[in-house]
Amino acid sequence: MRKILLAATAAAALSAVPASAQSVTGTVNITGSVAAKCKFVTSSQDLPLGELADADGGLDTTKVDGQTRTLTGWCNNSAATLSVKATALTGDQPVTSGAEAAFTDTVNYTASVSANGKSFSDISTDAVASTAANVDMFSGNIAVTLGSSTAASKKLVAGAYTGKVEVFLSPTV
Amino acid sequence: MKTMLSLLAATTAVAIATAPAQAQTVTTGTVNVTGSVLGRCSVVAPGGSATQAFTGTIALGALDAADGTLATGFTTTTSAASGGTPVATRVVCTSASVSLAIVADRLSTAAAAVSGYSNEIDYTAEMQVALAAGGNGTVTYSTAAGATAANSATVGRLAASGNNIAVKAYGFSTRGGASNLLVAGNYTSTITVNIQPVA
Repeated sequence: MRKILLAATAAAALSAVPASAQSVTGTVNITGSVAAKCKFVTSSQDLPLGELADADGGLDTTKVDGQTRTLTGWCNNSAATLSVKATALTGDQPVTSGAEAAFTDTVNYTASVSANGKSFSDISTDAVASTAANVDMFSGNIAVTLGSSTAASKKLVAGAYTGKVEVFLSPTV
Repeated sequence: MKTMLSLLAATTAVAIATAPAQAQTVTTGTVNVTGSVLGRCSVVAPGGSATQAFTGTIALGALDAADGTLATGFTTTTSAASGGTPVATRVVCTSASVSLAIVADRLSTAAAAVSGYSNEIDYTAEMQVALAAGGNGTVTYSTAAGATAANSATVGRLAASGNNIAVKAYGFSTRGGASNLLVAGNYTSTITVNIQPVA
C-alpha cells in the first residue's frame, strides 16, 4: 500500500511538469535481494550441572531440571523453522558387566526451547532431532531448559558426564 | 540649315544619352527562405532511432551483510561511487534550456517486517546531465525526505554527443534504523525522470 502511495506521489510530482510531446521520460528500475537466512549471534553456552548424584547414589534431578541457558540468533524469513536435538548425559565410565540392574551411566532428559514466543522440545532417549516447526521471523533469545531428567531409578556410575542440546535454525521449510 | 542639323544632332545625342536610364528600371526579386526547429527532446541512442522514453535497470544484487543488516557497501555509496551501474543514455534537446525532474520510491519488498526488522530501504536517486557549456546539471530525490526543491531544475543546453544522461542511486539506509535486520525477499524500486525543452 505504501509503495502504491509513493508511486502516486511520484506521478503527481512529475505531472507538475507541463506535459509535452517533445519531452523524454526515463524509467529506471532498482532491484536487489536479501536471501532467507538464519544466524546464531550466541551459538554456544556451557551448562555445568555439578554433582549429579544424591546421597543415595541416584540421580539428583534438581541438579538437572530447570537448568537453563540462553542462545541468541535470528531468522529473516517467515517460513523459518527450528528443531532441537537432546543428547543424553553419558558418563565416561561404562557400567561394569553384571551391574546393569543397579547402575547406569546415562541420564536422559527433555530439552525445551523457547524462541519467538514459541515452544519446541526433544527427549534425549532417541538419537534424532525433533520435527522442524515454524519459528517465524525473529531476532532474540533462544532459551534452552532441561527437565524431566531420569536415570531409570538406578544409581549413577562414577565419572564425568557430558551431553548436549543442539538447536537447528533453518530459513525455509 | 546647318543650325537645324546641329539641333538634330543634339537631339540624337540626347536620345542616345537617355537609353541607359531606361535599363535601370528593372525590379529586384527577393525570395525569403524560412524554416524552424521545434524545441524538443528525444532519446537518440547510438545507432538507434529517436524515441520519447528510455528504460533501464540498476541491479544491486544481495543487499545484506552477514549480520543481516544492510551491507556497508551500500550505506557508503555516493554520487561519485553509486550503487550498481548507473543507467546512461543520450538525449538530444534542441532548446537552449532544458527542464529536469525526478521522483523515486523506496526500495522495498512485499514481505512484512516484525520488530527489529525492516522491509524498506531509503536512498537518493539522481539524474546527472552533461551540459554543452561544460559541467553537469543535477536533480536528486531522497526517498527519506520526499519532495523538495532539489527534485527539479532548469539547466542549459545539453551536450550534443555521447551519453549525456546518467541515472544513479546511492546513500542507502535501512528504514527504521541501521541496526534493523532486512527481511528476506526481492527488493524493487522505480526512479522516474523527465527531460523536456524550455520554450
